[in-house]
Amino acid sequence: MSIDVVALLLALPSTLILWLLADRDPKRLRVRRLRDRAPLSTRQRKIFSVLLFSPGLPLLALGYWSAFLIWFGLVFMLGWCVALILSVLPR
Amino acid sequence: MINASTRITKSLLAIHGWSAVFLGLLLYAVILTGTLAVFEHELGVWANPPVQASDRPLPEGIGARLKILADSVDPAYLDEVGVFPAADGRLMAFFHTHIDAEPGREAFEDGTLILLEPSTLDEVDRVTGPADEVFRHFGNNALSNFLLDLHIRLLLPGQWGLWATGLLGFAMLVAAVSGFVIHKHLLKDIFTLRRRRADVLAARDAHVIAGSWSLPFAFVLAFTGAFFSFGGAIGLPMLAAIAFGGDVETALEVLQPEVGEDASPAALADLDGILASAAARTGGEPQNVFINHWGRADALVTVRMSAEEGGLLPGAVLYKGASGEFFKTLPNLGNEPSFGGDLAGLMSPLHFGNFAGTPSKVVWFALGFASAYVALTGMVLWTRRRESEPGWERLARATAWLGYGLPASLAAVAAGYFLMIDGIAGLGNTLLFLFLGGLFLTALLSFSASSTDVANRLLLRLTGAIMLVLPLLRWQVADGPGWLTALSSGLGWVVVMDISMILGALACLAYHRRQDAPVWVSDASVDDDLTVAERVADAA
Amino acid sequence: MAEMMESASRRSGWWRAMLAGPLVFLCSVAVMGALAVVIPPGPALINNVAVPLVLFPGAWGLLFFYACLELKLLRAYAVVVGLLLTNGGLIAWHFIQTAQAAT
Repeated sequence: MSIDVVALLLALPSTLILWLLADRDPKRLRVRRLRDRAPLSTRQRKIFSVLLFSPGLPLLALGYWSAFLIWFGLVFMLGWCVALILSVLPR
Repeated sequence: MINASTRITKSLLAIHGWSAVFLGLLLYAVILTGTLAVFEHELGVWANPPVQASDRPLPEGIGARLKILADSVDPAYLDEVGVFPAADGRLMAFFHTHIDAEPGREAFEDGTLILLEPSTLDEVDRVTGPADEVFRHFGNNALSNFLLDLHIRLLLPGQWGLWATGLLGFAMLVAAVSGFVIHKHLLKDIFTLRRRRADVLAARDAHVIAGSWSLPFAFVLAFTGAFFSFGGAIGLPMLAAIAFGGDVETALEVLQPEVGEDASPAALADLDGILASAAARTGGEPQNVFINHWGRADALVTVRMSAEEGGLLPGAVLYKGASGEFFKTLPNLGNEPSFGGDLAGLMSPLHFGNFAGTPSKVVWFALGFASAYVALTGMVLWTRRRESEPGWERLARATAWLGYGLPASLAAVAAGYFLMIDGIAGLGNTLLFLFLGGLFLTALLSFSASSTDVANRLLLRLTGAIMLVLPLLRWQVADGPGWLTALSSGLGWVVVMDISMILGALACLAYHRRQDAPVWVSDASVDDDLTVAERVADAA
Repeated sequence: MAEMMESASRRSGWWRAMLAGPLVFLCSVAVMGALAVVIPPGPALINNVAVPLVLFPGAWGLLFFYACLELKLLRAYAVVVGLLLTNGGLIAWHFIQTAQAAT
């Protein structure tokens, strides 16, 4: 399997973490007045943010720059998509 | 993000907004065409495919074929021979020589360009003349070339286009940096997209959230874009004068690998064997090949390879042409590995996103799309905030016109291409006139509509309608292959592009803005949510 | 009075635009050229071309933001013009040196 496909697969765990971060994002919950779920604490957000970017580290460590860039760009685009999707989903 | 003072924020907001007002629309055009140009080759194959695709960039037997072709061209053009796949997947062999600069005339390349079918290596056609004319002679790549011309030069002649796009790249760089600094709560707000708020707030969120998520890459794309435009227009000529005491040609001559001049005749070694050896030596795939001094004892064969697995910078392998023996391997730029060569070499994969085939292209397309969206929503936001003031209404209209009229005009250019193209015959300036006509018509439509919303919807539907008929025009009018033929000829991209066009068309046709009544929320918490920049902007 | 202040601020805006626009651009081009004089060519003989080329958009950006944000317009002019003259002088010195070496 090409390392660039591995990069695409590594975006999956990152997407899950992005979704979690977005779903429990304090400001989003406040602005949309969603009081049925607890927002993440600052500490939790920090931990998840580190986890979000951890799948890319092995790619960097092994020198797979092309795969790292694909994964990195994908994380940012998926983050935008998650924000867009959550904004149109019904409460 | 950064804790800047209100004064600095205010200045930066002014820079951010005004650079957008003056350059935003052109920047949007450059970003949008750049986004499409990521798939330049796939668009080329879709628009005018060869009969059968080749499974590698340089097909087997190309060396033997070149030897036969070499006998058929002016011997002066054996000075340098380049063979590379064109955007549409056909092969181009350019037998040429370098004509030195004279007072009042720049140096140029003069030669015979031969177009080859990649699977059979049959000659499709040939043309002789200066490089910039012969490469525009055939119509097969006209669509990709038009897109690139618009992206790289905004269709302006000579160096003017590079100056313009260089300035736009810099404006994008400035907008990215100033946007980053004025948006103080970038991380706090990164998932907050208000849709049912007042119109301006929703527009602000759309701009800011897309901007935040595309920020690092917008910076990279702008930086590398400014590098390419200004590097080509002023940087290289100036630095060549300082470092090499001459023009760019002089610099290239100085940097030629040293093989020792020997003009005595000598037959070229087995080129197919050299290509196979280069592949075996590096484990990569030969992408293109250049032969200097074909038929001389000092002939040099440069085989440019694909980057190694996971790498970004492709290298090259050199062979002595007369004996066919391995000479040396080359880094991406320069004769020896160097920091500067690697640094400048990185600009190209980072800008084009073509370093890992389809996966990287898809990601770069998405990043480009996001950047175009940011540019357009930024313009919409800035004009909407001032819509009630005199003069701004017109800019709001112009924004709406180019925002939706540009995609419509580009789709019209593609449709025009299929209606006009006849095999590989050239199209001259037809596509340019079509494009300008499209812009003119959409401007009429946009400025005469009762409101920008009506105009936008109309233009979006128009874009969708044109895109929907593109596959049909390609297949029926331009005599392109049907899906079954395409799939059996290894031209899968034709099908993928057709489906992408249809899906894009359906998205344009089905899109409708939710007509929510604006809800002004007047509780105190709103003000806490606003950043300094927003308060400054709202006060303005 | 208000009119006078407005015209003064418009005039200073014009001076600021001149500085941040053409002058800063010229200055960054000069910085790029001077870097090519200062940076050693390295083994591949291209470090002195490649590095300044890549640094150019960055240098331009830095100077642009400085020229826009520096409160004291006069000081901003002094810095930018000073840089322009120093770097331009370095390029001129380089050309004179090579011309002398050639003769």
